[in-house]
Amino acid sequence: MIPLSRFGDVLLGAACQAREKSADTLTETRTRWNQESIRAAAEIWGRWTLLAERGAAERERGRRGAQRAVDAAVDRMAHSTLVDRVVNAQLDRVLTLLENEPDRVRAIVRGQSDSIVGEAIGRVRSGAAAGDDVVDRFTVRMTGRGKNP
Amino acid sequence: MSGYAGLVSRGLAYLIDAVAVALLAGAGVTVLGMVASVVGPEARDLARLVVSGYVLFLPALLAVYCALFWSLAGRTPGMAVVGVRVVRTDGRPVGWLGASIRGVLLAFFPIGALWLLIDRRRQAVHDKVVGTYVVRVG
Repeated sequence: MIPLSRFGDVLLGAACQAREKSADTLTETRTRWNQESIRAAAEIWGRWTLLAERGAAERERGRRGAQRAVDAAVDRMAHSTLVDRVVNAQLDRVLTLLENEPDRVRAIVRGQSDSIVGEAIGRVRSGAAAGDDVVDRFTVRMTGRGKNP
Repeated sequence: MSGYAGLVSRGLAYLIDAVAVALLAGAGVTVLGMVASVVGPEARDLARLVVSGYVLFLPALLAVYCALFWSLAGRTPGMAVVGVRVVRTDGRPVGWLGASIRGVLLAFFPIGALWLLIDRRRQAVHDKVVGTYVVRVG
């Protein structure tokens, strides 16, 4: 029979054992839960990856299909008789305009050639002016005369 | 007017004009030779004389070319390309006499143009004699 004076020690020992048991149980539970959660996360990640790959493949297939459809539609439209008629009508109109207004065409061509010639002459002039400055600096240094007015 | 033209501008203009005159003279001599081969010995002698006097004839042609353009337009085609013009020291266009003297001096004494290197207003010898400047236009 345990004396009454040691009843407190019994209670303390019981409390310590209960703490140890509960700590062990808690650790075991946490370990099991961690392993399960990691496994579950890996499974979810794998499923997501599969879904993403399938989505990308479907999207690419859809894009190619749409491109083929657009190309076919444009090809059909370009070879349709209606478009041929419209283009021929516009072409005739433009050729008639060029034939009736040669001055306008000539002015456009002349304007373009003038701008090309003007640009070339501008380059020649600016290059010659730069050369003059270089020669002038050189002669000023050689002769010691002052800057030209 | 935006300053006096220097050696490079004037040299480039002179080169363009000299090439134009040489082409003109070459074409003229070629035509003369063809005519001489058809016409006869007298024309052939004349053509030989012209070709032998090419050294004298070409500068004379350049002088006439320059004098003509300077007196009529104030600049030769080469000067028009480079964007320079000949004016008298008082700012007026150069006359017939001045243009002729200037042309002869430039054609037969081109070394005198180097005087512009040491002149404050970039005047060459032919400019000093006639009283002209070569100025940049625009």
